[in-house]
Amino acid sequence: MSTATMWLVIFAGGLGTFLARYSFFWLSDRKALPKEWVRVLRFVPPGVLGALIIPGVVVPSLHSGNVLLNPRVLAALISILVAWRTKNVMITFAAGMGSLWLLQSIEPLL
Amino acid sequence: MLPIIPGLIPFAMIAGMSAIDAGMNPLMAQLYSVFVFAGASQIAAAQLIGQHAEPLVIILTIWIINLRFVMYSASLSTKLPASTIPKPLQAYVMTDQSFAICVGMFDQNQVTRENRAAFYLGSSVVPWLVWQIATGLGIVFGSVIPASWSLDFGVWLCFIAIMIPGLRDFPAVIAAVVGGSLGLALHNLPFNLGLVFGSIVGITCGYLAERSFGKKKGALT
Repeated sequence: MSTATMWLVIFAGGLGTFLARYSFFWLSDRKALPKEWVRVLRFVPPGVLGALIIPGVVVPSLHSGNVLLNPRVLAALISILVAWRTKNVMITFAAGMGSLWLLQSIEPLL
Repeated sequence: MLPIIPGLIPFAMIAGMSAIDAGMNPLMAQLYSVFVFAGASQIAAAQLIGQHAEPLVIILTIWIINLRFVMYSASLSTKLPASTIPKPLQAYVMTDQSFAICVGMFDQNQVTRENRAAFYLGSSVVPWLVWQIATGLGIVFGSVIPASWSLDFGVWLCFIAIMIPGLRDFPAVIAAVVGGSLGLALHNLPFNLGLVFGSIVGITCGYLAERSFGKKKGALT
């Protein structure tokens, strides 16, 4: 991607993000967000992150033998479990990277 | 506020590294972090730039991920009294963490009304500084650490660490699983449209599940 296109992405992405943050500060007390919108917006993080994580982890493993025995897929599953049990960012990171390194070192055995 | 700081550091470092991996120069990568200042979208867009996705799809992805700020903005604007702090500045420093902390503290009346604006600014500016410094560290390390360390995997760990604690009820899990499965099934679509369709259908299914079944809270925790 050219440098100019990257700047375009940065400016447009940054502007849209700022407008989302500023939206109701600007509208101030004149308007409230309709209740149904709040209910829809709650599902934006899980919907988008799910659509990023699952293909991002699984697709590269589709071309390399058994999907479930792939170190990245296994390490992602382990970190999901750890994130769910601990809700701690540092522990999730340590568990994810640690299990990936371990699984990569024993990959020929999988 | 302090407990959120350590959690920001790996995210910010991965954000810096992924911007370098995407082909940005160090100055651009740092300014990217200043302009957008929203971790998940920064990392997602850097990934898409690296995959040579269509610029429009990348911009759309940033916007969709950050739509949640509209919800925070609506909530905070009713809780923050008028102050000398400019509203655009209040808006710019808004994060998931400062929103969660301030709404919690304000609702329990742990901060007096006249102190709210200052409390909000403080709990947003400190993470902003930490975020920018740690992004800078990621930019520096990103150019030196060898690929064999597989630190690019940290991108997915970031997303997992952001998403999983938020899956507190059944409809939220539906949104994530449907979004992810459809994204995977459609991953061959051109322009990374699988991500856009997957997200939109996942969000819709989560909303419909909540309307049909309610929140079913507690079942997963």
